[in-house]
Amino acid sequence: MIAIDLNGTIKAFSKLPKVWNDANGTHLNIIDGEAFGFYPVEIPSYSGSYQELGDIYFDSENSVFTYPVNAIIFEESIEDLKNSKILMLKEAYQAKLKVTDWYVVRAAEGGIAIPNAIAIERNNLRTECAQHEDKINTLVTKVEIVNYIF
Amino acid sequence: MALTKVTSAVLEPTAVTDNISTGSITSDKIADDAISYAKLGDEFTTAAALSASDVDFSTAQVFTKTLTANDTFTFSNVSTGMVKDLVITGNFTLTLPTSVKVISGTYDGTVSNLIQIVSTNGPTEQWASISQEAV
Repeated sequence: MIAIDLNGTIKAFSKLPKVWNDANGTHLNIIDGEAFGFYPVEIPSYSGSYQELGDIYFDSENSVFTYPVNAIIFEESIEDLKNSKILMLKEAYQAKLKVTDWYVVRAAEGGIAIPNAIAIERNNLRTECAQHEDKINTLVTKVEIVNYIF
Repeated sequence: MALTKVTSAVLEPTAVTDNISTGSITSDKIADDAISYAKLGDEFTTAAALSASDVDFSTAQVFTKTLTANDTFTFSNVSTGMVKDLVITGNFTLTLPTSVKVISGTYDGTVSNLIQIVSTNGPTEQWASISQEAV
């Protein structure tokens, strides 16, 4: 990806344009893009969960166009973020439990016992979910909560 | 009766020196299909190798050049309706005047390019199409 600064407006292209018009003429077959003001675009690494890219700018020291990495400002309170995270956690574990729910239904309606391995697996899932919920509740910063992986 | 040779001295001066004025030769004086290719001027019938970078529209129909470095062409003596052909090779950047709008095609530095220029408004505006041999 490359870009050019056109009087303060930065325009990005996937590659050098085949035809380029500027005050000096209509240019065909541009090979040395920098001679016309085209420079590579570098996208810095960032965490999409708590960082975002700002507006593209020209980094004259490195001769590239790039973006500042800004921290996302979360509008929600810490409690709201925790509640949201715990809701996501419970939905995820509910989906895992759903796979073996039919054993439970069969046991309730038909009297066929849930296999021991399945019962243990379901119990472990509930324990894991509870442990994650406890950990989430101990987190103190918004970034920690947003970044928490279960 | 003896004939007297008519000399320019006895003609109206303008009959000898003036250009043919408007209406002197009317269309009925020119037979259909009478103006042949041979009667056209060089600007319509010749090809010229460009040694410099000015494309003089009044000198040839086809202009050729092999680029050996980035080059900036200028156009001169451009009039509305003129159509010229540029045959350009060379893998370098070619800059045409700002008056040129490319309407189709792209320049390929690895082969010969036919750049056809049509002036739609004298030196103010020309439209260009770029093409290469089909392979």
